[in-house]
Amino acid sequence: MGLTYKFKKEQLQDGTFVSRPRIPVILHGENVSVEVVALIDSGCDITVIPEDLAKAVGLNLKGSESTIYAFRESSKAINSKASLTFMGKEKRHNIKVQAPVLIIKSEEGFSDDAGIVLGVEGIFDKFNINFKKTKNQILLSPV
Amino acid sequence: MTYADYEYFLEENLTKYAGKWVAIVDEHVVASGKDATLVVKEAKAKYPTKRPFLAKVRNKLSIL
Repeated sequence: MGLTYKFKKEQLQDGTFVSRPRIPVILHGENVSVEVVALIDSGCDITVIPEDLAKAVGLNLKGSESTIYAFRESSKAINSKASLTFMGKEKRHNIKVQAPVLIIKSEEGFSDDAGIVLGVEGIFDKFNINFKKTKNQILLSPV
Repeated sequence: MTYADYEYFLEENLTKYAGKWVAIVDEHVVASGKDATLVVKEAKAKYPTKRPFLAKVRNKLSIL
């Protein structure tokens, strides 16, 4: 049984709209589980979680430090793991996975608006992911 | 199961919370603020048996 989602339409500063592959997932932590929106990004090597969110649910922040590079910028990050549940429209369709993550450290003057980014490692080897933009569908099939 | 909260987040105009984290339970914003940890705590205090939907409402969007 696969999971089907729609692209999320978002308005840019210039008034134009873009459709982004954001999907609902449950992020499980030591303290609590919350539902969040996550961007599927095949150009990202590993799943990235903002520090604010990681702290809120109680993810392990004691891992080794890394540097994450995006375009011409770099940020400090912590290696960790997280359990994520991919939400179906009915609970019986939910699929839980554990994946390595980088917790990106908060920096003064920068906002963590992007939320969770679902990268290749630990996610793309658990699901075949099919983007059907013309049909406004994102299909995730468990491997 | 609160898939409806995700759809509420997609559809609802939440611009008054721009720059803040919001916790949504049963299609209502039940807590908001700059600190995600406090927002989750407040939502769980109000609805201990529910799993909140947590999101940061964006200030301005740009090309990724």
